[in-house]
Amino acid sequence: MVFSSVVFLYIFLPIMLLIYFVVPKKFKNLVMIISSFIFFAWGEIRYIPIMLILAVMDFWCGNKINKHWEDKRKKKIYLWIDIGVNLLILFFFKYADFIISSINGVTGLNIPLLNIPLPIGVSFNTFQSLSYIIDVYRGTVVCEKSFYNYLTYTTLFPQIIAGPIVRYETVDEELVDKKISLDNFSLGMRRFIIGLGKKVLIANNVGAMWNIIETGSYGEMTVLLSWIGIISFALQIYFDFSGYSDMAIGLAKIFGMDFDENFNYPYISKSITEFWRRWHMTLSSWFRDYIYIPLGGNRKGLPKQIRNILIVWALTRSMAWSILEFCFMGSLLWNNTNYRKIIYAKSIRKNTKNIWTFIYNIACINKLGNIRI
Amino acid sequence: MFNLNGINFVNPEAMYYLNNYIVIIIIGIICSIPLKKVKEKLLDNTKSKKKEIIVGLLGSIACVFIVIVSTASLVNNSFNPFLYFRF
Repeated sequence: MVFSSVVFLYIFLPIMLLIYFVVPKKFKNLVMIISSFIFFAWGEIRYIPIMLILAVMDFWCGNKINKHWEDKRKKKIYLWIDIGVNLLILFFFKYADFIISSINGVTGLNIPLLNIPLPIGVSFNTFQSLSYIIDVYRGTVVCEKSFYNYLTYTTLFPQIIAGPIVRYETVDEELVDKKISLDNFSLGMRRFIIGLGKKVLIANNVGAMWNIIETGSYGEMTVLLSWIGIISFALQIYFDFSGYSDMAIGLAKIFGMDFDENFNYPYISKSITEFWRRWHMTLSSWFRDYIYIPLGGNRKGLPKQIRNILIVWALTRSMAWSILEFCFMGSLLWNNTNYRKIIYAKSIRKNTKNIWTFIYNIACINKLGNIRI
Repeated sequence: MFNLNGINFVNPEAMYYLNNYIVIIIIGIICSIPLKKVKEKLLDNTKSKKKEIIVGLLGSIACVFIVIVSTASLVNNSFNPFLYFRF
């Protein structure tokens, strides 16, 4: 089910809200869980058993880590069991066919492809699980002692399919004690409506423009048209993703929870580093905190840095868009090596940094859009 | 994009699209930029109670408007892609 659909807005949400607010406090999480399952199963029922297995694994490993807090070796074992299960699921769905076809190509065998369609939200789900278990291991959060609450957290429908990556520490108190009030309801509703407008009124329309240009023939391309196309595309992805995040944040607010912000006007960035601090902030901070920094970040010399970037690249590989690969690699290298200093040092005035960043972004989008320069 | 292949700068088709979509593109660009001054003016509640009420009312009307127009757009089965499919 998608937020921007009649069935969600006028059937699922009103009914769900009614039940949620009427039901006594201790059952609210149950309403969330059931609603989330219905929401998710609407489009992707096959993944549900896996989601449940992951939830059980995370919960069990988290509690084991807590139980053996003094025993470093055991802690690590449980940590890696959970990470292993999560990565196994993630890579299986993303790369199984890729690996099979590579094997076929290399050995000449003809193993049939599994043709597993990628379940929607599998990345967000596994990233969230990983953030939980790593936080428990590090002691950033105390493990969740109630499976009921943990299941609520991991299946939360505002974020389960496309939402911001919500770390456990963001909502751990609110799982138990929701901040429900008329103020929060109206603030959340307002945020949700803004997100809806962004998605349906802006993103869909400029997206239609981009779609026309993208599928048009090269013979009819003109300079003007390609610029309109690129701008439309840039606007579409921004308003679609940020609109979706707004809807998720708004919904969470209505239910009494606070999600972190995800977009902060990325297109006014004056540098690529800044861009990645404004675009899909929960994802980039996830990569920073759980992969890049634990691997040593940029502090262990250039070869390791490149290795780290390659790992991030591998993880994001089939996340639809080469924009992610390209920009991520670009921005990480850009951020952490001296190249940035060399190029920026050619005294570009502060005001024009905006334009250079935007042109760089356009170049990335260009690569994605395959519009030839 | 920079006229390197000797393609035309503009043709009737491009102008047609531009005419149709220029408004939404401009709205999009404006909404991508945080308009701090406008926001400050609007949210400055200390000035008068009356202003606070009017701004609040306008906000609510805007929300209702968005919902109505969005619903119309959705019911109409217009272009509504789901970009998160490969995540």
